[in-house]
Amino acid sequence: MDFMIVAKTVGSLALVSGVLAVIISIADKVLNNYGQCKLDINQGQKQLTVEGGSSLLSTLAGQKIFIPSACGGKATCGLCKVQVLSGVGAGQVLPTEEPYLSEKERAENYRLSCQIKVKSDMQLLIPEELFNIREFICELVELEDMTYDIKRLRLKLPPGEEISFKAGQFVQLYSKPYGKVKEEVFRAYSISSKASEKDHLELLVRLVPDGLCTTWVHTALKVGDQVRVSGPYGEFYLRGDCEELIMVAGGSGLAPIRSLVYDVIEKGLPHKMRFFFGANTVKDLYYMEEFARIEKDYPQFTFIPCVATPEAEANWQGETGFVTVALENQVDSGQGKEAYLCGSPGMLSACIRILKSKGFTSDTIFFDEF
Amino acid sequence: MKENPRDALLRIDMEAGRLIKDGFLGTDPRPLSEIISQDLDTLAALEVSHVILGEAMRQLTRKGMAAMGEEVDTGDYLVKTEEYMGWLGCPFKDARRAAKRNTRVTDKATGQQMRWSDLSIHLIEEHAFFQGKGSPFRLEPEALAAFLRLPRPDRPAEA
Amino acid sequence: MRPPISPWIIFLASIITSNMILANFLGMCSYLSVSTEYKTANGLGMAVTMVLVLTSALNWLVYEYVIVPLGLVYLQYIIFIMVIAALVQILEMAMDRFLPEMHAKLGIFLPLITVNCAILGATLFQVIRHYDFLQSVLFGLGSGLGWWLAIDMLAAMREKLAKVKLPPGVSGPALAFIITGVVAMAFIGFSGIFVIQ
Repeated sequence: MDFMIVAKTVGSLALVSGVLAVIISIADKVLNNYGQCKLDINQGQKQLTVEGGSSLLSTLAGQKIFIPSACGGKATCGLCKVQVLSGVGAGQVLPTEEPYLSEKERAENYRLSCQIKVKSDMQLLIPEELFNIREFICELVELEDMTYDIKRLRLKLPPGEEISFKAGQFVQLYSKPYGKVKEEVFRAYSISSKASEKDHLELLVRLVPDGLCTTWVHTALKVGDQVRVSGPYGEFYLRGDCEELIMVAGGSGLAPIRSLVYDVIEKGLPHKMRFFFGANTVKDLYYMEEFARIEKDYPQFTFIPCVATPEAEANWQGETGFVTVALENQVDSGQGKEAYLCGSPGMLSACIRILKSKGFTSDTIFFDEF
Repeated sequence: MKENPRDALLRIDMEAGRLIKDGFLGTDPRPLSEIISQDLDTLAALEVSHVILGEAMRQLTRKGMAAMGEEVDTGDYLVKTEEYMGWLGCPFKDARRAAKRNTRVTDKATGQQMRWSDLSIHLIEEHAFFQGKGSPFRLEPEALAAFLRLPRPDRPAEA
Repeated sequence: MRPPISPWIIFLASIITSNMILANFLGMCSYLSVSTEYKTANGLGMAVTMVLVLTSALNWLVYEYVIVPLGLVYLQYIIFIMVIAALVQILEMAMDRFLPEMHAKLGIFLPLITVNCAILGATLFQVIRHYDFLQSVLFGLGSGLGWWLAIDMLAAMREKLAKVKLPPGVSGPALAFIITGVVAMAFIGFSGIFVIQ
């Protein structure tokens, strides 16, 4: 009698758990297995079949379609916008996407590809130029300290490979796990080398206290290491519909400006150039001889380094004060000029304010904040 | 008490190596909401609100920003800001971001120094989050309030 | 066997006079730990309501068509809990697939709800009182809404009180209990309007 009850109990419980387990597995297969999703890009120009479940950004990267991102998919840069015509659930924009999508963009179905998951077939519109973006496993051939917190990286592309970029654009650098950082991280760094040099890339990386990627570059990376990059990306490049270029940079913001300056010179363009380089102290200056040499060889280029608080012993003879002071004093109007700025948010907003007061407009000011 | 599932989710990104190298939690084993509520208790005992603290920090940082990186004398303090390119997102997933700006403040009277970032101002002002114990960037509420000389009789203790 | 009470009376009573938290003190654990922030509490309340409705309905069917016919009434507690756990799992997957915005807001609470005793409590109440299907569903819905109401009230009060100076040791769980007790006493004022237990 007792045995029967025990048997019945065990049997029924086993049966019920079994049935429930089967139901859950079926549900898991049906619901969680997004399965193969078809991505239709640009009305049939490209058709891909991918595994669902990951973000659109990483899914496309896995298919070698690189959407720009400066923040590694954390929704703080807003660069990874893509038009999603169908396949992403009733078009409701997520709270993390809201700050980066204007009314117009939402009406046109723009979404942040790092925030939406591939769950079903999708129809996407991706700008043509992004198809030129490629991935390169480069070799680090030079790692030089330019200042106490800025390193120059010289990367050699794999043999036979070339990168075509517009001066001013950036690449994404992928760090490897090290120390407490368990995963690969990627960040945007502007290319500082000449656009004419297609088999090498140079980047300037400034150590950010507590930074994930910059700490990797400054502590874990060694000459000879393999470094993965993708690019080129970015809307920061020469338009040139003017007579003079006003360039302003601070810290590692010098990188794209250097590339731009060489670009103008190598192409023999007629533009006058004035480069205002802002540094906190004399210790923060670098590439001084190089720009002095360019100034000497090419009269169309003027180099104006500004040191905010020069150390007494450095005997600094150049401009002092923040770079905005020199900008205010030496630039008279926006007439016939374009401005190219690269630096921290504070520097950018201060400079933009001054330039706008001189007559520059949103159409003649270009800046890179990453 | 059990850790709130939302806290468990936020904790993932607050660990070291996710958003910033050392993370926001240090070696603190307490659940996130407990860290915040215990710091709020300390503040309540001091009769200072985290919003007022954040505001005071922001005002000092603004003065440093106006001086464009030069050290500025605000009367009671010397303030110097330093900036890097790019943005840092708030780990509380409120879609807010802060510039990578560090402010170093020296109390002229005592010589004591305190450092904070723009993100920590937001974390304190909006989320009452002073970071976990053991985090190199944790600001102890009593120390911060004392440093900022809050509450002051001419300012209300509440937001 | 079915009690002659209108399902709608059961619905209203489960919110007001037989509130899961305030009258029955069920589901206290997550109620206390998640009520420090109003937004989070609101989310949990929504999730609990949804789960309660579905489990009430499902467990009624399981009781009627599986447990009773197979003579497994002595195993009903275990079977109900297993059904609740399975349902919550499937619900989370379905929400992630079909309602991603809602999943982003509520999804993290679902595992916590599995062990919320208000869920099992509602099921057991409806079994003990022999409710029929409609009564059970409305009972589940009302219990959920009542739980949601209670946690919203507590969270709102705790958020306001978080800014106030309190005697040492009072803030935190002690305060939550005090508030809950006072609100429960206030709700006793409703007793007698509808009687379902």
